[in-house]
Amino acid sequence: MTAPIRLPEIGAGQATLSVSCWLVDTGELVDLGDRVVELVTASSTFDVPAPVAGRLSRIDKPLDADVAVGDILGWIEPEPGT
Amino acid sequence: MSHPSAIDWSPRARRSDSLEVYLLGRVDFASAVELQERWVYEISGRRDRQGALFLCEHPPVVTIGRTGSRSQLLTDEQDLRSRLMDVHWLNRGGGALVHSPGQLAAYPIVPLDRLGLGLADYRAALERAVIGVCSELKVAATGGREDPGVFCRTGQLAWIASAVRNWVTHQGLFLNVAPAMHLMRLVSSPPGGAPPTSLAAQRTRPVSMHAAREHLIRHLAEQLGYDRWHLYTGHPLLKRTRRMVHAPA
Repeated sequence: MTAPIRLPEIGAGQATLSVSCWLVDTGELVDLGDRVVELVTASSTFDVPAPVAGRLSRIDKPLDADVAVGDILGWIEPEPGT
Repeated sequence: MSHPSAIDWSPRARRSDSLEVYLLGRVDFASAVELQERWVYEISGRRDRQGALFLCEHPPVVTIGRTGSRSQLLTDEQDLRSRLMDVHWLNRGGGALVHSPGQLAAYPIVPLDRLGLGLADYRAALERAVIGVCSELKVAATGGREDPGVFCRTGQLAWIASAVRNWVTHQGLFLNVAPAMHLMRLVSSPPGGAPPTSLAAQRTRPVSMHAAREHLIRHLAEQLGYDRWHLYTGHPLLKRTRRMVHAPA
């Protein structure tokens, strides 16, 4: 069952968060905790880790998309043996 | 009686709530980035509140963060090359910045989750620390604007341009103490932003880098919630090197 990459509560306050970089392409394998997507505010970047090991199957928030806490950024398809 | 071998000496078992402060002097930008990478890895593997703070100055160099672009450069690459100034593209917040001697670079490597801080709290803590430094030097300063940093009557004094990986911060805070201002103007401010200035320009008298550094350590430790800090000069992973750099007039 695919697992969502959800933006956790990062205490960004009123700052606008947007996707600055996907560090993994769809179809690539990731390990639990690997950095998959980087978000940016005016003062800082924040790397979101993979919630499970598997293959990045879909990107819901492309580059420059604004995001909010709880949004699903993409999906990971767990793979046997990863 | 427990056997001494029962003691767990692994990094995960070590506990410390202190801030390790390294005074590095003048450091090549790339070496400072490497050192931070190493410490982000080290702090990520711990479970306590220990953090590190690197304080240094850089030879003249331009860095561009995720919200910056080449259009912020107010000079061409030929001019930068003739000044022996490299351009580094970094995965940090903020736009283009110029670093040079006279600017105090502070790189806190701290675990935000274990300190109970969010991104906005962290930014506010850094701004309050710089405002505290300014206050000790009798400079009225404010933060909390749309552009992250600290401002005084004559312009922007400090910039916050950080990054967070595994909830551990790196990159950081840049405070203009008394840099060569013609270098600071090689990049443009954001539209509607304040021009760069310095503590020395605002006070119209010399400001000691040592005093600014001492004030900043104290205020940063307080704002980030550290009761204790240990001070070191240099770092064993940094080697002394010789390199030709631009010396601002």
